[in-house]
Amino acid sequence: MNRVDPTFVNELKEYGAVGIEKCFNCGNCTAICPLASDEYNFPRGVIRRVQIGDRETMKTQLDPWLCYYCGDCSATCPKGAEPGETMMAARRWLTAQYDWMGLSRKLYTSTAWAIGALIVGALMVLGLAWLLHGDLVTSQVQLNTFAPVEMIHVADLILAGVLAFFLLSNLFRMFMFTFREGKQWKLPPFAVFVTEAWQLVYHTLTQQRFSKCEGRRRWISHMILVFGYGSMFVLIVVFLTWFQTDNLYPLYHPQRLIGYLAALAIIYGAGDALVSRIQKKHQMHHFSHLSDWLFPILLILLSVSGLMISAFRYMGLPLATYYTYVIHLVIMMTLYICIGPMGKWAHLLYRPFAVYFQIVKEKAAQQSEVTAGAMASAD
Amino acid sequence: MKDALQSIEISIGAIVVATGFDPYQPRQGEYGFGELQEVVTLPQLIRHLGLMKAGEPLKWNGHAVRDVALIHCVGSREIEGVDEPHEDGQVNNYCSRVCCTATLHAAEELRQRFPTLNIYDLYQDIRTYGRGHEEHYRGALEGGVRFVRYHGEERPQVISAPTGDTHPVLIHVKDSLTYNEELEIPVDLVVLAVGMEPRQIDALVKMLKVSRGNDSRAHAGAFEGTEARSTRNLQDAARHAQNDSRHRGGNRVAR
Repeated sequence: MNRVDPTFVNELKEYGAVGIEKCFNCGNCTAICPLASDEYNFPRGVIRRVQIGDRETMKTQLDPWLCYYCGDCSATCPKGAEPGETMMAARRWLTAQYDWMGLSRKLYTSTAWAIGALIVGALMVLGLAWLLHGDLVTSQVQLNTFAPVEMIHVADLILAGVLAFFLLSNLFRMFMFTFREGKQWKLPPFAVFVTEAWQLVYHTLTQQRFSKCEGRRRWISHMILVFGYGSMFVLIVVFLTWFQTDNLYPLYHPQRLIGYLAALAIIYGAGDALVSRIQKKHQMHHFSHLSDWLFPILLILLSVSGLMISAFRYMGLPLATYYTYVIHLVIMMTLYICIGPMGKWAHLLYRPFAVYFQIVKEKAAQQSEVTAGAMASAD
Repeated sequence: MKDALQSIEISIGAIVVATGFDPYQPRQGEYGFGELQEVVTLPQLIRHLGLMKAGEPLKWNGHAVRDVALIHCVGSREIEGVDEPHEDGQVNNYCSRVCCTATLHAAEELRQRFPTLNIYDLYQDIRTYGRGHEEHYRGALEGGVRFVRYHGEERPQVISAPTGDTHPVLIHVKDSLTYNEELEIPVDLVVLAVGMEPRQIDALVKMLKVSRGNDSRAHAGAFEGTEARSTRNLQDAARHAQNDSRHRGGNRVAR
C-alpha cells in the first residue's frame, strides 16, 4: 500500500513543475497525447503519482522519457495545470534519481550550484592549460605546438571515459529501477533484450517517436542537431589526430567540410531551440529552466568558438587561435560538468533506452501471454 | 392577556412547508467516530474554528494538526446492501446537496487560516450545487487541497495508527484517480462531512394531508421548502417555491 507523501509536489516544483495542484484529473491531457497508450497513460498518470507523492512508482516510470513535449496537453488542459511542464520536470527529477552521486539534484534545483559548476569547469581547464600548454609560436599558427594533439587526444579520451562511466552507471540505475519491484528483480528473458536490440539503434538514429509528436519541424531541427553533434563527437573523440591539424586545406577537403557542416548543424539546431525559447511562441517553450537555456547556449558557443579557431588559423593569427582554443576547451568542460551525465545532455541515452525498455517489456508480456495461452489450451 | 396563546384566522393561497433538518449523527464507530478522538463532524469543526482566536494554531486534543482529511458523503448517498440501514430500516440514499460546498468552504477557510496545513479531501463526486459554489472547489484545488476519490461501494477506512507512527490516525482508501490503488493517508484530524436528515414530521403530514416519500420526507400537496421534499439549499428552496406558486397561479413567494 502506498503511503501518501504531500511533500512531493513541492519537490517537483524545485525541478521546474508549475500548477500541479490545479489538476483535477480529468485526463484530457492523456486523451489528446499522440504518444500515450493504455499502459503508458501520461501525462495524467505521472501527475497523479506526483500529487499523491508516490516517489517509488515514479522512480520506476519510463513515461516521462516517452514524451517529447509537443505541448498539446498543456494547451488543452481546462485548468491551466501545465501537464507538459510536469513531464519536463519529471525528466529532470528522474535524471537526478538515476544519478547516484546526487550532484544532479543540486545542479537542477540550485542556480548557485549550476553557476558554481560552470566556474569549476572553467577553472579546471584554465589551470590545466596554464600548466600543460606548449610554446606560443607567434611567427605562424602552430596549434599542435601550443596544444599537442596527442596530449589533447589523451585528455579527450579520459574525458570521454569519465563521461561514459557516469552515464553508464546512471543508466544501470535506470535499468534497475525499471526492472525491479521492491527488492526483487523482474527481468524479462535475456533473449528478448537481444532480439529487440535493433530497436535501440533504430530509435537512437531515427527518433521515430519524436516525429509522431505534433510539429515535424521541431523533430527535423532536432535531428539536424543530433547528427551535427554526433559527427563532431566522433571527430573529436576518435579522429582528433586527423581533425586537429596545422595543415592548411582547401575548403572542399573533408577535414574542413565535415567540421564546418557539423558545426553549422549544431548552431542551426541549438539556435532554433534557443530562438523558440526566447519567443515563447510554442507551448513547450513557455517555461524554461536554467538548464534549458544553458544547453543550447553552450552548444552554440562551442560551435562558434570552434569555427573561430579554424578562421583564425586560416587567417594566420597565432595568438587569437591559441586563446580561442583555450576558450573552446573551457566551454566544452563547462558543458559536460554542468549538463553532462548529471543533466540534460544525458537524455541522449535515457530516451532511446526508455523506448527500448518499453518495447522489451511489452514483447516479454506478449510472450508470457502466448505461453500462458498455450499452457491453458494444453490443459 | 398579551402573552396568552391566541388562535387567529388568516386567508392564504398556499402553505410553504419548510421542515428544516438535523445534521446526520454518525454511528458509534462509523469512520472511527466516537472511538477515535481525532474524528469529528463538520459542524463540530466549524464550531471549533469559530471559537478559536485569530492567529491561534490549529490543535486537536492538545496536538498540533499538520494533516487533516475531510470525508464527503457521511450519511448521504448510502447504498442499500452496502451501508448499514438506519433505525427506520432505510439507508440515506439521497445526496444532501449542501455538504460538498460546506466542506470545500471549510477547506478554504482552513487553508487560509493555517497555510502550512495539509488538507486531503476524500470525495465521491464534487456536487457544488448553486450559483458560485463551484468557486469553492476551484479555490480549494488551486490552493493545494489534495483530492482523493472513493467509490460508495468501498468507503474509506479510518483506523488508529500503530504506536510509533508519525500520525495518530491512518485512512485507507481505494483511490479511483490512482487506478483504484489503495492509499494510506496519515492524518491528525478526520472531519466527517455529515449530510442532512429529515426531522420528525408525522404530525405535520397528518395535519396537511400530504403524501410522503420513502425517505420519510413530505412529498407533495403544499409547496415544500427546504427539506420537506428533498434536501435543498436556500437558493434552491426559494426558487422552487417561486416556481410552484407561479405554476399554480398563486402569488409569487418573496425570497
